[in-house]
Amino acid sequence: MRNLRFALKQEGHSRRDIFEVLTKYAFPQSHNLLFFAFVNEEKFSENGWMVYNPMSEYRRQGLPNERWRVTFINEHYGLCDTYPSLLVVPYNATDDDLKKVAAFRSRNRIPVLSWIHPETQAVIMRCSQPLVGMSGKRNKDDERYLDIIREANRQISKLTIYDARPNVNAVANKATGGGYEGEDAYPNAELFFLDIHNIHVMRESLKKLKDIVYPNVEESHWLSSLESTHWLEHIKLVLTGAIQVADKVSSGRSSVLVHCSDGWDRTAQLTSLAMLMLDSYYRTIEGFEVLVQKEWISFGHKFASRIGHGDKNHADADRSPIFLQFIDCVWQMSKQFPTAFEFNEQFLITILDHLYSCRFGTFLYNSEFLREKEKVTEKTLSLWSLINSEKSEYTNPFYSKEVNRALYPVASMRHLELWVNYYIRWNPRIRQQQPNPVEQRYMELLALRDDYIRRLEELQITNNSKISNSSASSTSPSQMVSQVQTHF
Amino acid sequence: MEHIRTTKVEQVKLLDRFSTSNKSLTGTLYLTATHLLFIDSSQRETWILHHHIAAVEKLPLTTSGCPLVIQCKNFRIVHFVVPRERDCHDIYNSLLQLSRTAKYEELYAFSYNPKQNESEQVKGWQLIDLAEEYKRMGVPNDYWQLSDANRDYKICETYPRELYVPRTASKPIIVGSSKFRSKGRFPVLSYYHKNKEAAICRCSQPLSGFSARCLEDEHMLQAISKANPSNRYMYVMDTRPKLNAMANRAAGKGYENEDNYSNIRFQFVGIENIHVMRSSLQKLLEVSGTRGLSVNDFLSGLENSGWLRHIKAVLDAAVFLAKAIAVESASVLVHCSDGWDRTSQVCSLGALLLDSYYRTIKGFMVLIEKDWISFGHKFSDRCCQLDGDPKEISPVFTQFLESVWNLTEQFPQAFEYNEAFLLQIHEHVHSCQFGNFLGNCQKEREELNLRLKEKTYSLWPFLLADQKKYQNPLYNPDFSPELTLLEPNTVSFNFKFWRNMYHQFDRSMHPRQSVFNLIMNTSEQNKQLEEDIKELEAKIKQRNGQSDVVLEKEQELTTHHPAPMALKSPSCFQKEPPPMPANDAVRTIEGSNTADNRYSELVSEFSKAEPAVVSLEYGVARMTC
Repeated sequence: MRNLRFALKQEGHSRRDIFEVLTKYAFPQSHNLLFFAFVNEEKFSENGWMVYNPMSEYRRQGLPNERWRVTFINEHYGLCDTYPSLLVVPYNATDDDLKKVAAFRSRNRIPVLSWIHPETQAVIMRCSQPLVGMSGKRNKDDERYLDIIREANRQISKLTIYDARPNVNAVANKATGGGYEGEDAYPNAELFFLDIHNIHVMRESLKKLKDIVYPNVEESHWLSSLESTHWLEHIKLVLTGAIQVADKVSSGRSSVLVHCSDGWDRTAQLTSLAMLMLDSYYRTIEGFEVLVQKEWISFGHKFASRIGHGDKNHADADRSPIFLQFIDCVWQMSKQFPTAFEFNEQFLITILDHLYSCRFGTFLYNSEFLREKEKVTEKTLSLWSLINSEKSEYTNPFYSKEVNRALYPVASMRHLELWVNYYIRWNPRIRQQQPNPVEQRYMELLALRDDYIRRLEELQITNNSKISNSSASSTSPSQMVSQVQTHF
Repeated sequence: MEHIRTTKVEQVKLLDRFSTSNKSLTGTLYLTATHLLFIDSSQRETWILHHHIAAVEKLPLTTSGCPLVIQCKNFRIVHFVVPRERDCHDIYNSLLQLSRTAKYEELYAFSYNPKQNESEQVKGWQLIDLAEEYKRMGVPNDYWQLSDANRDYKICETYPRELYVPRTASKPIIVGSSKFRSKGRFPVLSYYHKNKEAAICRCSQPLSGFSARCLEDEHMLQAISKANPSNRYMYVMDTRPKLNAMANRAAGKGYENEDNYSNIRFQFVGIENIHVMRSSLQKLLEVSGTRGLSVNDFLSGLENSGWLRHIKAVLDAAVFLAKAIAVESASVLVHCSDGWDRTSQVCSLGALLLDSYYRTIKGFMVLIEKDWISFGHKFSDRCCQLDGDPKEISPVFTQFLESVWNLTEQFPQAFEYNEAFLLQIHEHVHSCQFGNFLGNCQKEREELNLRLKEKTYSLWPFLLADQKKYQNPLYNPDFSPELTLLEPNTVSFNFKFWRNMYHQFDRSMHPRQSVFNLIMNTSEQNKQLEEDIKELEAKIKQRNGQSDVVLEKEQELTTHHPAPMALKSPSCFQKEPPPMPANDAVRTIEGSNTADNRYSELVSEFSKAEPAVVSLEYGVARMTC
């Protein structure tokens, strides 16, 4: 969110040339040029394209197992052109079943597995809305399929369906052939609406936010102007929804199905945030990259349409800051759990910078299918190459590794804050203390500790040798040294 | 106690005010002479000091019993449900009586007995010595001297006995000036900046009306101006909004006319009065206390309360003051109406920005003693220590603490003390447990036959004894050497809602992790390691000294020393945090440490080894949203 204005000194010199060149290169897509990513010749020591391998990610989750199988039905994107080629579905559902279900789901985005709880075996599934329509169509295969999902967890209680939309919107979608799972058709499922608004509302909200921080920060009525943008309200709703999903899976031990309309915006936000809350792996740098790669990139969040890479039509109705909102939610979580994330704020800001930059192929195009067609992985570099080559810059010094701990942020307005370091970072009045004094102090303390431990070891060795010189009773000190080492 | 009819009620429910699922704890309620005590079924204790109670309210009867809501001055709100209405009524009446005290002698401070002997008590009161503090600032000197004019509180009742004035200000000038100032509060020295030779002076408004003049007062200001050799002009800061100051003229008061005083630069800074602040806080509490707050109401409610805007105004004034001194080397005279509310805020915050001494634990105590207690901030009236005029109550001191908190947020390494220190002081300003804050001014403390220093204790030694709890692990004395100016950024979004003040007792509002503790733990570990090293070094030295020791002695050493080491090392090397102040020790029946209970609860919560899997009961989602 920065606007620049250049003043040309030479009077009379035509600004036209510059303007033309600028528009041409700023919007390559509209001028039949290649993205910068395709001509970028940077070299990195790490290859970011290797970070995500769907098969090994599912294996990490313990899949496939006796109840869940991997299907290659979408290998050539025949079933669904916005899904990845590799999908995890219930063992008891045949590929034929899947095809029938696909006919009843918007854009063929059938319910597939996103994440499985290692202990409860409850799963998070994602899909798009069912094509119920005005007449209230039903589809036996879809109904049976949802029941299979429920049974895969040997679950007696109902399957929980979270529809991310506000109730009204879901109803309104019936007019265009969409809708939601009705009680009659799905007696074994419970449906909740999460009241998250659509992409247009989010776009307007961000626009308002921009208006109050640029060019000048609205000072006199800061809080009410911030409120009038509704930005934090939307953040709160997304977080609240994700908490509900996570809590249901973890504490409620119930499988959940998440969808919105097409299942690539709000659904991605909810599943990825819930997974971040439940699975500590995704809170590492590598894990977060996998999460973005999996839930967002491979499952067809329409980055090209939402961001408008290289397109000069910036007023397009498809634009929306859905991914930015997700990163904002992650930042809010990292504020509340400062030691739970391996990555720091800079990591999140870098991701957002390159979301728009087109320097890397990572966020280009709308789906895996298109990326394969454009040979993105061969012709461009991955953002993760940049990050993984200099991991230390993106590492949170306070991170302490914990396994399998669920984090539930407090989604109260008393805790949510505007991400000043991102949204208002270009304002010269925002001075960030560099380096961050808290981090600095902690690093000093850690260095001091290492120094002490080293000295302690040395002394122990001296002490040890003294003892062995003079007596034979030296048992503990040598053990002590090894003990010291093992703890680190 | 004659007010207590029922001392114990069983099967009382304590509701969590932010839980929408009406979660509650069941336990027993006890009423003692000084505290209300609730012990829940898991033996956790909640102590509420009677003096802390701001309001008691009986809500309409429900099926589960009679609800009783107690609001405290430290922003704790408890919601009990008493099964029988009669019990509830008894408790309600007792609390109404107990929370309203008519005489100083009935305050908790006079019955509180921390088991100190007399000499400790005397020493405690001597801990803060203001004469020493003026010496530290560099006065008396060639320009400033100690005046004995107010030795018997003859000139000004609400000032301390010892006052520093310019050498050139003779007694007639002082007397004349004091007659021209509201409540006789004439201009005196509050802080002296020895490098810039500039001074912060304080007073009350002049009785100028529309045109009155006073030559002595004009001389007084000139004397202050002349006492600063490095600058020929001085600032006069009226901390009120201009409109209020003008309105005061109709009552024969007002502000300095620049034409009558030579070389002054007059400035309004627009801090609102105590009534505005009181209702602002009231609005803030309404907003923050609303449970299941609808999504957006919080921000607009916060803004409509105006609270953060007032905090900003106070800090802006302090920044103006500090810059006038540090940048222009100009002396500044600060006043408001009576010079004991806004003036205290601005003078003390200005000094805090200028002088890093006040950013230490001891220095902050001195600052409060000087600018607040000795210069007669009316603690008794403002904090409603005795049953009095509700219009006199105002959160002026709370605002001061909150301003300091905002500074600690912006300059995390500049302060020796932490948030807990500020909260603890806030707690005791209202607790009436220590003598420091009782009464409205020094004269009152001495007169009244209170004999405060014999009958009550000073808070400061107790805080110092617990210093460890209040130390900021990020404090770096080298960050700001002696007289460096802190320049806070006062853009609106830097002012945040002080969650740990207004929600310090609402446990569901606390985040579950804090970097602060991580750092504390690490620095604890380092201390431990340092000790281990010393121990080992000493051992080696000892061994070197007596290289030809007999074998038995050697064995004794090795069996003796490594043993505690082996015990210690795991505690530093594993992720377990080092032992924090245990909280069972502080629970005496006098409840001497209500605040500590709360603080140690927090600490113990944080320092608990975090379990591998947090098992939150289902439905937590609804609670945290």
